[in-house]
Amino acid sequence: MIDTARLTKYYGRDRGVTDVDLEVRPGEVYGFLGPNGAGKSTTIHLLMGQIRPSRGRATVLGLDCWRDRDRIQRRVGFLPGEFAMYERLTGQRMLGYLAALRGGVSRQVLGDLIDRFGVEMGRPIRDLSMGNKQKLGLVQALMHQPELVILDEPTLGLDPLMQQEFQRLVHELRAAGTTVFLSSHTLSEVERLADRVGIIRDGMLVEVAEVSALRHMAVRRIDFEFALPVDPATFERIDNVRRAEMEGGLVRVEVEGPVVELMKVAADHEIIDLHVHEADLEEVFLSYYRADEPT
Amino acid sequence: MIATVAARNVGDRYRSVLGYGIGLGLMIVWVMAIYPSVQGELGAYVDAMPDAMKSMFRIEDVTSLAGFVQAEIMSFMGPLVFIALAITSGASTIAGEERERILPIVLATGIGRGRLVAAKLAAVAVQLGAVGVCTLIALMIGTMAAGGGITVARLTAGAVQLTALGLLFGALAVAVGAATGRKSVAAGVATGVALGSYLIDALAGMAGWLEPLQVVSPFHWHAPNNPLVAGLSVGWLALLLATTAVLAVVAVVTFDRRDVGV
Repeated sequence: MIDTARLTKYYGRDRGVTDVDLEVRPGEVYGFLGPNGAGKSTTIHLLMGQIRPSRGRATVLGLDCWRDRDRIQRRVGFLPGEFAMYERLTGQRMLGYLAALRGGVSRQVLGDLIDRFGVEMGRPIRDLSMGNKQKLGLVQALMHQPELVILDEPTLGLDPLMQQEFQRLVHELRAAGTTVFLSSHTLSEVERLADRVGIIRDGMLVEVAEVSALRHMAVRRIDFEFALPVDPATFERIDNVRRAEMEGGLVRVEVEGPVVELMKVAADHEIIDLHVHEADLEEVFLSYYRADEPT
Repeated sequence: MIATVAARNVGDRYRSVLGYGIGLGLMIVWVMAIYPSVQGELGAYVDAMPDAMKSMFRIEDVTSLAGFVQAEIMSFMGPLVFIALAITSGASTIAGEERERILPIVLATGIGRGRLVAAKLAAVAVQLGAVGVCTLIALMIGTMAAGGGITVARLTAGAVQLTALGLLFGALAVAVGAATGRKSVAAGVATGVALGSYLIDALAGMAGWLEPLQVVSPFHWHAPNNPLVAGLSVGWLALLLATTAVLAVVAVVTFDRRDVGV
């Protein structure tokens, strides 16, 4: 569905992407993961034919991303990152306008999407919250039932309930055979949604992995509060615990991959409270690079 | 699809267009309505003016209604209104929407960049046409108020030439905006060119060395003769429209080739 070879875009200093080889297969949900500024949006702009590659090749649906961009865009659903709409229009009229430019869409599909996200259709867009604008963006990306959807940070600004609704939607899309390419800077989101993940850093695709493999690379920090003092060294003996230390009455443990062993050991003591900190993407990258280093 | 996009743009700006049209229209009617009462004194007043000043403001024959309207409206205020509307509308249309980050979502519908530019140019043309119609209506009302004397065909010629002049600068603003994606550059370049060509045309009569340049000034193409007296100058009008067409092609080609939304 998406195929790029040595795709490169230079602009300015230290921006752009270098030699990106992407391959997104039909029917899969592909998570495109990277910190802000790593080149996610640049890659997506290249795929949508909004910017021209400096070098390399990019095809979507077998069509050249730059030369055949209009044909691609008609068949693809696209949610740009940091997009805007006509502030004075209501959601209703904005969607009507975009639907007209696409040559009309199914009322049924449009109505279902609007109900599903509870989009505010009657108010001017300037009065909508960021989350409501994002919902409109999702609806316009999906209303023409595209075979491929490319979403740049789709859950930005959505409240947790809507994030769940979005997850359900992605699962349904996949079940219906739609290919989904979505970018995110949060690992947890990609973990929940994607089959495979490409990690981009400093404009280069550094890793492509099945989500299950990525989970093994993830480093989580867990803070335990015990009823009685516990020696951190107890945890350091566990294989996948990277570090354990006392800090302000809490035992802070960094664990790589599954937490089963750690929890077994911790359960021997009386746990009053625990906090699990989301695996930091930077940590995933670091662990990736550490794993790469010759020992 | 072109009509849909153009209608959207005109719909966004119709209040502003009405403002321009009604404002200019009222001014035209007022100027023409006072003509009979000032007619007697005008001859002596203009005779006392230095020749340079007459040349600058294209004051040829203010003792006739057509000459009076030419001097008061057609040589400066009229062009100013048309060009101001053309540039604000032309600069905001592509460059403005790009800055506001609206373009990516519109282009993502697959309408094509060429069609988008064509629609934006059409929207500018429709807005100028609306003000052109207001101008014509006002000129007709004014002529009646002043006791007649100019045929409808000549009034139409005056309104058409003003509209065509505006169109040229509108297309220039669209083209610069399409090529650079920067609204301020589009507005700045178009305003600078408009000002420069006005000055060349206005000062050519006084400064001999400017005369050869006069022929490249769109202001000269707009009204080398008073259309209210001589009627439509088809050749000059064609030159205005042909230049507009070239700018339109430049807009389409440059926008098609560049990176959008970065």
